[in-house]
Amino acid sequence: MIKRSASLLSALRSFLLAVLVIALTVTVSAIPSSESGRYSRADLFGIYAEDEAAPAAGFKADLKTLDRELEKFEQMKAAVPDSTAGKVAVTHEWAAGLSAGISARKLRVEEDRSGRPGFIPIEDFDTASVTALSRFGRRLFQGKPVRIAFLGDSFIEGDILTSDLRRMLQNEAGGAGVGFIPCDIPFAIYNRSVSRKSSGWTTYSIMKRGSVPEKWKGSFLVSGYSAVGGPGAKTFWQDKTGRPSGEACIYLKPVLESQVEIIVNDSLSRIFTLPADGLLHEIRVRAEIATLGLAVKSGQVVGYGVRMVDDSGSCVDNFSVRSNNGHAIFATDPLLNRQFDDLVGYDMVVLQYGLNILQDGQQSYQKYSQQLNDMIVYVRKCFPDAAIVVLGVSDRWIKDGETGEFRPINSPDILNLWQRRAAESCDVCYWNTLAAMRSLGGMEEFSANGYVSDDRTHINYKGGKAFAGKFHEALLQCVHDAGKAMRAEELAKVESAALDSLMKDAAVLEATPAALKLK
Amino acid sequence: MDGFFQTGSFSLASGWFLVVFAVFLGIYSLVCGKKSLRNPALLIFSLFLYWKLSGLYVLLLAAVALLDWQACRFLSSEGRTESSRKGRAALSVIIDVAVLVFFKCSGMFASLAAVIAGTEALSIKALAIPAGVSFFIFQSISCVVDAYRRSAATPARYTDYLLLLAFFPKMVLGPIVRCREFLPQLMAESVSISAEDMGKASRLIASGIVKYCVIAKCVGDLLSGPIFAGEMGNAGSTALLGAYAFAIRIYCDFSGYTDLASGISLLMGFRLPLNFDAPYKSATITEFWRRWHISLSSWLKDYLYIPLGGNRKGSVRTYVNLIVTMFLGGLWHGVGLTFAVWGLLHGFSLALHKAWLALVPGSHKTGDGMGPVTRLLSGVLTFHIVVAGWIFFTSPSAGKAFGMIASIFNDFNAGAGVELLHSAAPAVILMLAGYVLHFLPSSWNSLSDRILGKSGVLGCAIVIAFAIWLALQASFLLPETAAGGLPIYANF
Repeated sequence: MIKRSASLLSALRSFLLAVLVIALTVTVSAIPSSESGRYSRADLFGIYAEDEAAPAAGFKADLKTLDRELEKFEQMKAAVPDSTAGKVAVTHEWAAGLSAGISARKLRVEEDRSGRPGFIPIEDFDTASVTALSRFGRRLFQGKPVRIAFLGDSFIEGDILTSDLRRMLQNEAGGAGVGFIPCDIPFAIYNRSVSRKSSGWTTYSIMKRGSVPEKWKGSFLVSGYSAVGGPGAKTFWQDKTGRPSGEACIYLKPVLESQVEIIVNDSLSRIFTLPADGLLHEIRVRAEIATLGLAVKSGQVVGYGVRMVDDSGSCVDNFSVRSNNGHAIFATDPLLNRQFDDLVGYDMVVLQYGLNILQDGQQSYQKYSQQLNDMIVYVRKCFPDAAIVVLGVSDRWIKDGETGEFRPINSPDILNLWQRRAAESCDVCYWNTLAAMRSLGGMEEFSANGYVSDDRTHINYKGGKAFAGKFHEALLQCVHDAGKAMRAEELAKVESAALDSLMKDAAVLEATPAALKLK
Repeated sequence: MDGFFQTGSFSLASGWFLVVFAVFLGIYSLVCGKKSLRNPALLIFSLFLYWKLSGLYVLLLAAVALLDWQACRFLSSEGRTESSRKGRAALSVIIDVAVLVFFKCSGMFASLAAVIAGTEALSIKALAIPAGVSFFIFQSISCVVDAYRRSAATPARYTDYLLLLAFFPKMVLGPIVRCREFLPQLMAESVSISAEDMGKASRLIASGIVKYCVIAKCVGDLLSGPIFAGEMGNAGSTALLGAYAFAIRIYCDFSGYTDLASGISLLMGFRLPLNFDAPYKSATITEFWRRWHISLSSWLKDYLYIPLGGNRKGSVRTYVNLIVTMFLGGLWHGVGLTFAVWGLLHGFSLALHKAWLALVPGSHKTGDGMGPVTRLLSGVLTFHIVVAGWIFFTSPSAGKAFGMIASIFNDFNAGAGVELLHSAAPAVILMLAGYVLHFLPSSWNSLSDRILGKSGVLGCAIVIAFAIWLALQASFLLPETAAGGLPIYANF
């Protein structure tokens, strides 16, 4: 009996311990995240509510708020004085050195690739007489630079695909530089185009927005990472391509009146004072830039990143956020995106998403397709002049738990179908990545040639180069089509002018005998 | 059909489990003083959790337990002939091994059948593996063999035998407990948990959470995982960093989860055997296998190495037995070249060390008795043999593993490693923290047990809650998709 009582008491202690642990953790979860970001709220209610394996809560589109925000943008735009060149953002210029630059040149694509075996076209569902995609092709045809934004997930992380596409485009159409690189991100990513060393920032990922302090929740740009930095925060970028850009544009949003130092090629430096005006600031440095440093001297800024580009050349910017299915765009600040687009002027936005929702056995992606519709609407409102291209998902193989062998999953075709359907219903463009992969031999060849990572899901740089080649071909076809259309328009103009002239001459001739008779 | 066999997933480190376990402890505290109530309560809760993990495979667990319990009863009873006893034991062991091989190799058999039939149309879907199948089968085999050897008693009730296999803290990852170690605890009329037990349980749970949820998860997802997936470049310095990272990751992952299991068991008054004893402190490879996954290595020794002849049949046969044992141990992890190489590497290393002990007078089996310098050098060498093995263990292919090792010698490129150290600083710091924690003196554990034991229930709760808070903070370093999941060894 005594033993039994001792047993009961000791087990009650264990029970009390478990209850106390729960009580303590629930109490701790009531402490909000600190504004400095040093402490994130431990949402223990969340971990008690569901199994760990349960998927993360989704992002929701709030298109009404989007409209309200963008209305604000139009009002701001109408209110800005001419001195800022009509931009709802602030640009600070610094001619730090001679900028060689590689200007855009006219791109002439005589060959019609559409009949080539293995050619995968960009399908354009826009019904306008001159579509956004056609405008994109026309710019290249006319020798104007184009800016492409790739919004994607880990498939293109580390500048995979985009680095090769950029090089191909710049080789033909002119331009230099590695495009957009964030100020700081909270984990390591190998990037063969550029190296980055950063310290002193408190960096938030849009994919972890649950732990982001309320103050910074609305600070996200389309890049998906916000680096909040006060005095001491610094980032150092170094080009690894050997093709230095002729210009660098650093994007910051001052929270307080701030001073930031920009250091070019480890030698020249200049301090900029940024007022806390709630606008996105662009510090545009012109010089042949191999290395670039940014250091916050006073105040506090949200650092987004730098675009290492040539203003007069073409560029491809990589905005990849690991694990993102595209929904995260709904948690970005549309006004900020709009300001960013106002500064950069994107001609094409590519949406490369879907890899993370591919599941073996999934029969329909209708719900995702509806969400993709909202994403397209969102992107179109933030980047109003850009052609939007939905990239279909590529193939994915999974390791069989029993054999240890990789096998294909059945759903990439189904997801592609729904992605194409979303593009069609929103009148934007679609490119079939899966078909491109198959035209290159499919996963078997990708695997045999070392184009994919060992997980048979993510491509590596070699695979990225193969895809970039295919996508580049499709872009060249756009230029070909645009050139053909422009030539036809010119011819029609000439013919119309000639016809007008003939008609005038005929009218003169008809009038002549009567005049003579009068005489 | 798969749905019936996979109802979900949970781990001992999840919030869901903490709440369910707290509710169970409330009931348990009322029944723990009476075996006839306590064991059924434990069994029902264990089977519920197993069903939660593996669905109707709970019936397989029950069937294996029934078969082997009957065998144990037969083998323990008097008046049986030696041949009938041998036959009954062999039948049980063969069926157990067949079940294990069937589930672990069903996919491979299906592929082979398709190849032989010469058609892709013959598509036999691989079966989902029941959670912890290796662990409960190994335990059951040990019970049958011990009953045959008459070295352990057999439970009189089938339900007690089933509980022996299904006891939930060790269900997924072990440790593999022996009948003779655990049965007396199950059969005790009442359980007792001293203040020091409470302190030890709290220390084990807290250190388990930190090792498993903080260090292993972050180092795995942010450092070793991307490096072995080829996402961080191919420089030798990166490969070496990845190998060091994986070494601490797998240790923290496995031993952390085992600590959790031991701590949770102790809160209910049950003591699980030690499974890890700071293995990277080992000065020799023999010592390593006395410190790493102790319950498996001793199981392999007792039920594979010794039946093969052990060291009783001459030195050459001893070496062969060691290599064969480790080779089969490697294949247990998976039928593939990488695991075979891993097993052979350890088998040859053990055999070489055995030969060294025989040939070099004054050489030591373990670090005990070695001078400090010899111990340090020997420890560094042992650690790197183990790390080389981990490269094969975790690489997707043997070719990739050889490539990584070659890059360490031929294309070191220190700059790439330095860049990675900088860009993955939080994960690198956690990796170093893991090594520091690992090399702390073992005496600190018992000291902290005593301190925690004296600090009362509230002190213990604060320590565990702090570990949970740390785990939550660390999870913010990870992408959302990285959360959750079971330890690496749950796949085996």
